[in-house]
This record gives sequence, C-alpha cells and structure tokens, in this order.
Amino acid sequence: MSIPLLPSPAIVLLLAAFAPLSASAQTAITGLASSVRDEVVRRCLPMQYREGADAYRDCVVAGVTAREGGTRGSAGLPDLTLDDRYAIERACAGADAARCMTDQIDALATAPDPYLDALDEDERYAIRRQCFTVQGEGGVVAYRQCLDDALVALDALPEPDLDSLSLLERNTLALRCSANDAGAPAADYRRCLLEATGSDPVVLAAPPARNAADTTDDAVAGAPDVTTVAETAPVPAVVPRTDPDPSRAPDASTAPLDLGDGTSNAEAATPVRRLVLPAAARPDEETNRAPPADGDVVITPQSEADIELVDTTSGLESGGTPDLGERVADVRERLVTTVSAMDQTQRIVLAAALALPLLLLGLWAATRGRAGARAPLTEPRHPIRNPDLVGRVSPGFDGDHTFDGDDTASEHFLGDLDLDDLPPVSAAHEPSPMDPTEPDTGTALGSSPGSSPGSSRGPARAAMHRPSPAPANAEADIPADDTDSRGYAPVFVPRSSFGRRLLGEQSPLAREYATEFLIYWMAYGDERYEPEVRAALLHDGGVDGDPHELIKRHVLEEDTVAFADVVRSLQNGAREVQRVQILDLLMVLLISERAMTPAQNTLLHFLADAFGLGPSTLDQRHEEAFGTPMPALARTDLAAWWDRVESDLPPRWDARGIAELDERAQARFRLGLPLDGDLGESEIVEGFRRAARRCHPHRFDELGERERALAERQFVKFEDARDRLLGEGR
Amino acid sequence: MKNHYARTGLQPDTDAVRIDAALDGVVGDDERHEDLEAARSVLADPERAIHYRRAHLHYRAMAEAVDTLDDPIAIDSHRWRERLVEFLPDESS
Repeated sequence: MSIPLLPSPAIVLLLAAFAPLSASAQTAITGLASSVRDEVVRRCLPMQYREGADAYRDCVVAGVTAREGGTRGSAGLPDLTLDDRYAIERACAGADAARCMTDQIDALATAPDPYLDALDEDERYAIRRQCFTVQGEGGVVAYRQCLDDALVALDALPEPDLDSLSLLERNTLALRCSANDAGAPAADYRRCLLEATGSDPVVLAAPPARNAADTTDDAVAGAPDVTTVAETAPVPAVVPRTDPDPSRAPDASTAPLDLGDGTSNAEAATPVRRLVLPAAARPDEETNRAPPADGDVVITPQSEADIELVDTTSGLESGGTPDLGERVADVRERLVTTVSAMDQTQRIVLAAALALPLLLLGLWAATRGRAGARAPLTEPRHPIRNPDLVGRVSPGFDGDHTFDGDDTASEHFLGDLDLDDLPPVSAAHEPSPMDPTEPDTGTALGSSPGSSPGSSRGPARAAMHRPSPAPANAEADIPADDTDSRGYAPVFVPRSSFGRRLLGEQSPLAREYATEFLIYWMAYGDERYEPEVRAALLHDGGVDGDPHELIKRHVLEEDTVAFADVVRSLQNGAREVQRVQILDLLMVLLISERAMTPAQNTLLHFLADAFGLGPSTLDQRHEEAFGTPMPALARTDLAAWWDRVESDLPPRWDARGIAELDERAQARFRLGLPLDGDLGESEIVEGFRRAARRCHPHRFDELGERERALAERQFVKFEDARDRLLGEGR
Repeated sequence: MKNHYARTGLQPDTDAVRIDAALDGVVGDDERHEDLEAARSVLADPERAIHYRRAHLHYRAMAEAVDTLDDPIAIDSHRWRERLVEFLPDESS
C-alpha cells in the first residue's frame, strides 16, 4: 500500500527547489489537470535524479504530450503508437472494422496513454508482456487500462538496489526474472529482483489518514523524522540500517509514532522507522538537519505513491539487534496468524504458490540435466507454437558454460518442426542462406542436409532437413494453413508469373511465400549464396514444381517485376502488424548488430514506406532490435557517403568474408561483439541477451509457422554462439 | 540515386583501368566526363563497386514497384520517385 506523504502543492514546491532547470517543463504542465500533472511529475522525478534536469524536462514534456495526445480522443490511427494501433486492429478485425476503429479511437478519451518512459527497459518490457493478451483481445482502452494497472502495481513496490551487483550479475538476474510466463504481472519481475537482492518486496501498510503534512508535524514535534519527497531515485530505495548502537538512548527512531488513529507504532503491528531523506534530495531548508544516525532508515526520493515503510528494525525497542531466535519466532507467529485468517481458497492458492517454485526448480534441474546450461522451460499463457522458446529467450545463466557439441536442447526445440520439405540443393553445406554469416547452400524453407565443420547439429536438426518427394506441381504442394482467418486477401493486378501464382494462393500461404521471397531477396541481394548452388538453381530451380525452389530461382534471376508483385501482395494481403513483423523478421534473420549492409538499408527503408509504416516505425523496430535508430538511407552512389562510412566496412558487411572466419569470430559476429580483442563474460551475455530478445516469439506471433520457425532457428544460432564463446575461451 | 551504369554505359564488372580508359576517351565532353568521374569515385574501388552493384539491383526493383507507393496505405517519406527516376523501367521495352 502506498503512502502519499506529500500533497500535490508540496510536489510542485519540491520540483521547483530541485529542478531549477526545469522551468520549461513546469510551464508545459501547467495546462494540465492537477491529477494528470501530479502523475507526470511523479513518473518523471526519477529521471531527474538519474540523468539530470535535462532528462527530467524531456520526460515531463513527453509526458505532457502523451497525455494531451491520449486525451484528444479524435486522433487518427496514424497518430497512435504502434502498440495502440495493434490493439485497435486486433479488436476491429471483424466486420464493420471502420466503425469499430472509430469507436475505439473515441474511447481513448477516457483512457490516457500510460506513461512508461520513466521505467527502465526491462520493466517496460515486462509490463507490455503482461498486457499482451489484453492488447490482442480487449481493445485499446482495456490495453491502456491494463498498462496503467500494471504501473500502479509496479509503483507499489520499492525499486530494487542493483548497484552492488556486477553487470553480469545484473544481467543474469534480469534474465532470470524476466523468464516469467508471458502475461505474468510486471510487478512479479520487480518482486523477483527484490527477493533476489535480499530486499523485502512486501509493502507494509500505512495508515491512510497520514499524509506528508502529518509526518512533518511529527518530525517537528520530536516524533520520528519522517521526511519524504515524490519519486524514486537511482540509489537504493531503502538502505537497511547497519549495526545500530545498542547503547544509544531511545531517540526518534524508537519513539512511538502517532498513527493518527489513536494507536502508536508500539501498539500497532506495523513497525515504524525513522525515515531520513538524503540531504541532496531535500529542500534547502531541510539540508541543515543532522545526518542520519546509524539506526535510521534512509529513504531516498520515492514517488508520492511509492513511499513505503520497510521493516528493517525489528526489535528496535530494545535498541539492539534481535537474536535469530526472536526473529524466527516472530516470523512464525506472523505466518500462523496470516494462514489462520485465510479461507480455504486462499490456502489453496498459497499452497500452489509455494509449490510452484519447487516445481520449477525440479523442472529446471531436469532440463539442466538433459541440456547442460540451457535455461528452464516455461509455459507461457499466450499460445505460442513453441512455448519452450519463451523461456529460452529469457534464459537463466549460471556461468557454467561449456561447448561440447551437445545439442539436446536444440533437438527438443526443433524436433517438432518439419519445414524442410525440399530436396537438397547441395549436399556439401549446411543450409542457412538466412544466416548472414554463411553463404547460401540451401534455405531454411528449403534446405539441405549436412553439417558444416565444427557446428553442433543434432539428429533432430538433421531430420529437419530431410528431403521429401517433390510434388508433381507447385499448386499441389500447397498445404492447408489456418493461421489467418480474417479475410485478408492479396488482391492486385499481377505483372509477373510469380505474382500470378501468389494471387492464386490462399491468403496465409500467399503471404508466407511473399515473405519468403523478401527474405531471399534480401539475402541474395547481398550475394549470400554459393556460386554452384546459384548455377544449379538458375538451371532447374523449381522446375519440379517446388514453390520454394521457384522462389529462389525468381530471386536469383533478379526478377524485379516479381519483387514488385510481392510488395503489392503484402500491401493487400497482410495486416499492418504482419507487415511490421515481416520487417522484424528480415532484421532478425539477415541483419547483425552494427552490420547492416547498404542493400539491406535500402530495402528496409523502401519496404517500410510501401508497407505504410514509415520511418518512425522503422526507427522504432530497429531500435527495439538493435538498440539504435535506423541508419539513414544509404547512398552508395556518392563518394562522400562512402568516405563517411568506410571505416566501418569489411568484414562486417561481407557475409561471405565472415563465413570464412574461424567459428569463434563468427560467433562474435552473430552476437554483435567486437571481432578482435578480449571479451568479458558480461559482454558475451549482454550480446546474447540483445540478440535473443530479437527472436522472442511474440515478435512473430502474427506470422506463419515457417516464419516463426526461422526466428526460432536463429535463436538457436545465438545460443550456440554464446555457448561457444563462453565455453572455448574468448 | 545516380544510375552510374546508365549514365556512363559502364558495365557492373568494369574495373578502374577501363574507367580510366573511358575517361581518356571523353576529353572535351564535360558532361560525360563529369559523369565518369562521379562513377569512378565509386566503381573504381572494388568494395564500393560491390555494394553499389547490390544497391543498384534494389533500386531497379524498387523502380519496378514504384506504383506501390500510390497504394492508400503507403507512405513516401523519401521522395522515392525522384530517387528512382534513373532506374525506372523503359516503357518501350
């Protein structure tokens, strides 16, 4: 439960005292309703402490803009965020979509856009995951409400103190805590962090009547010095007291706190601490106060709604540290009391909650026994085709990595896939034209058996590439697919033979073929193929009716008319979210971090425009994938452009050159790591984490089985790269 | 985007020696000389030439698909028609 210790005017006063540079930000918020203004201020104050006044100002301005935009109610779809548009599009997928969309947009007037920018990336991600199902099923208002609820729940917890952890430990912890089921409350993520760092995630209740003015009066009157401000700071939310001086006379920290309801803290079960605001975060008039004593609990600036009292001083009445026996007895007593007060249902829930970690531990142990350092598998609530991947995209990490060729997990992971229904085009190479580090010798959609030297390929993976008899004609080879029942159909005037074929396909399959064409177009556009394979494909690729071979052949023939038909097909036959995910897929499969080629750059810019997404969405997708905005459109025709970028050229732009490097260098490339020099474990883990995020199943959940499988396969390659780097030295 | 091949008549596999020879052959033709100089700054370098050739393919494809930008959903944030004008397919062919 939160304790609003300062009234709104106090927040503004504090803001003025702390943020002299934020005058423009305050100006920007003056036009807002007080409740909205307070919320913006509350959410942005952490930015001030973390990153300074400029960041705070930007945060407030962004918050104001979001509020204004979110309450306009008349904004059109293009003005909404991608997340909102996705929610609307999903909600309005049925009949009378236009009216539905209008209603959804109008309803936004009652649902201001929750402001997530003040959260760190992982928590934003956790919140969006929590609300993913609602986003897909409940409409945009419900989605925003879900986000807001999640924010409130998150705000009710203190910020974890991760400063004492190393980067590796932080990453490990973040990965472990983010491995919850999709849809799990975002607060669980923070709670997990708090528990892992030894903080008490339990928020203690405080009397609702108590507000900031009350506490200030208490302090003046000699009662506990409870001083606080609004919002969270980067330093630990609560610094546990250490080694209190037992000889110290009872002071404010031990004096009963008037709870305003006739009880004192000595009478109430809720322990009360002396809370001291760090001098740097207090108004000027408070900075002359005595520094916190040993027994004090220092609370750094927290949100108005976030200030919590955290029990760290049990037994303070005696002025000393209670012994372990007393603590255990106290905890046991509280536990018994709590359980006794539960009804049958609550007890069942509690039992399940207690059993779940044990179950997960057992599962983890079993999995680890089979898959070495692989992460535990989790079962998401969202219907992912390969649920194993969700857990593996956010894997735990125990630092015990060896690369011994054990690909058991990959077998499990890939064993249920059977995409490669094509005869091999080459028996000498591993199929991975989608892999920018490997020259093409087959495709993920039509690939060849075999294994490249040193690669770890298990039987299941080999089974994936097993050939099957080719159909008599391509049309006969079209499998049933029920992935899209919303009636989107590619309607366009085809100008190529391939376009005519697309037009003749059922909607989902046509989209999949068109996507496959783009994948090859991007891959082969950078000449990722073996010359002999290219010759073979140009000679007889697809003559047996195999559609995938035919796609490759059209691409190798540089069939620009077919390319145009593919774009038309996807404009008409794919929904916006699918077009976004197609761009995501191209990035995941073909673009490595800091290694986008000019051809890839050009194609992505054009497709983003043709798909109606535009540069802002492209920027956003690139930033989500690689952490940086999309590079500007390449100008390979100008010497001046080359002069600027040339220092970053080979070998990162040369996929075939990369393929000739040793495997460790290739692994570095895959994870976007420097090709030379020593690598720390944390760098490897961080690189893997970024790469794994790109492959998350939810990013491709609107695409077909084949496309999702490609992303999953790419994830396995990232895992292999991580294990190789961690296991063989760096 | 300049279509160096179309402007100069050079082939994608042209090397620096041939470009220099072509430059020698256009003395006095300032416009053509300028085009060849611009092409040389890119195509004489093997690495640049490779990536220009690859981007060139995409520009040809995009020019073929330029009408997709007329689709109601499309956005033209890069003035694509101006960029693609030298790559538009010959209607007579």
